[in-house]
Amino acid sequence: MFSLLIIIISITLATSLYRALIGPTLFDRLLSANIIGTTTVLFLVMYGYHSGRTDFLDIAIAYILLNLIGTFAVLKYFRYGALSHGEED
Amino acid sequence: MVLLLSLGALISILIVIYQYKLKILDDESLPIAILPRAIIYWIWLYKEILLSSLFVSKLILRFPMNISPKYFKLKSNQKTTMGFNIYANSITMTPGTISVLTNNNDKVIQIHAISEETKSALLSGVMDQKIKKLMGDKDV
Amino acid sequence: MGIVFSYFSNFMLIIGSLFLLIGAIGLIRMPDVFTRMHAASVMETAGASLIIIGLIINTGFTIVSLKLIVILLAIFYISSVATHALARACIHDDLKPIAINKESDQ
Repeated sequence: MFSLLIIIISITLATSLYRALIGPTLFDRLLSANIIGTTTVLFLVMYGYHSGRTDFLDIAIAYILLNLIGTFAVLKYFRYGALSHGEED
Repeated sequence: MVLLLSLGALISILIVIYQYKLKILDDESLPIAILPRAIIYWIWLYKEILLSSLFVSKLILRFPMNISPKYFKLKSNQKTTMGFNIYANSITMTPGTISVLTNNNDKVIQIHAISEETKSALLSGVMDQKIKKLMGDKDV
Repeated sequence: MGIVFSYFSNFMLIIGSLFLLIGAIGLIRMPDVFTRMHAASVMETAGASLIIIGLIINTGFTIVSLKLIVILLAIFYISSVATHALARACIHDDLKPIAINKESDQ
């Protein structure tokens, strides 16, 4: 059961990676990066259940917080040109 | 183990009660007052998420892909900032509608919807009424 | 009783992974950034939450399922906030959705 789910999640990861490679604009690539982050969390949880080691859940929690911070950092960089200041203009 | 965990939980609850008595909790903390009604609202929202994701899935799998996305403005009836935030977040969380730009001063959201059905489901205002009921008497 | 829970959790896992696959197909087929966001929203809310709820039913009430609930809430909040930020950045970057182009043509 869990190995079947790991295969399906890997197919989803490959599809998102394809969209990230051919994406016409920057925001397509960002959207795919965001989805790859979420799907990686699911993959880690699944792998933890598959191998019987639930320590992977802690790594999954760390990954999902990194995902949010990474998306915001890239969005802020392309909006303002720098990461240091963030006032609305 | 259990003793340590329960002592930590007890001390956290005591600190929150102390801050509540001192009235130094601001609006951005966890809204305890609406939490029991929020659970009912979450269950309703989850049912709505499942139904609309079924709708969007049917739209994706239709063979000649003819989608007609809509972009429109919606005025919400929320009075408080928190109700407005919950409304915009719920719109984004439901598949089929995304809140693009929000304005807290005149409470107008610009929404991108994927088809006519999700647009009319949002314009009927069921979610708005549910959130007004969730926010309680001080909002009416 | 245990076997009923097992079947139920397997059912939810399969439905969730089907939503993931459908979202991935939509990510390829959709014509424009904003419509792709709807497909991504199907994956991130319905697919992920069904898979994690299936795992919670499979596990029972332990510290593991508590961690799974934390992951579920984090996915819900983070996906909606990130989608909204992405849509706002698209509009600020003068990237018009095809809905506006269609209305201006008429």
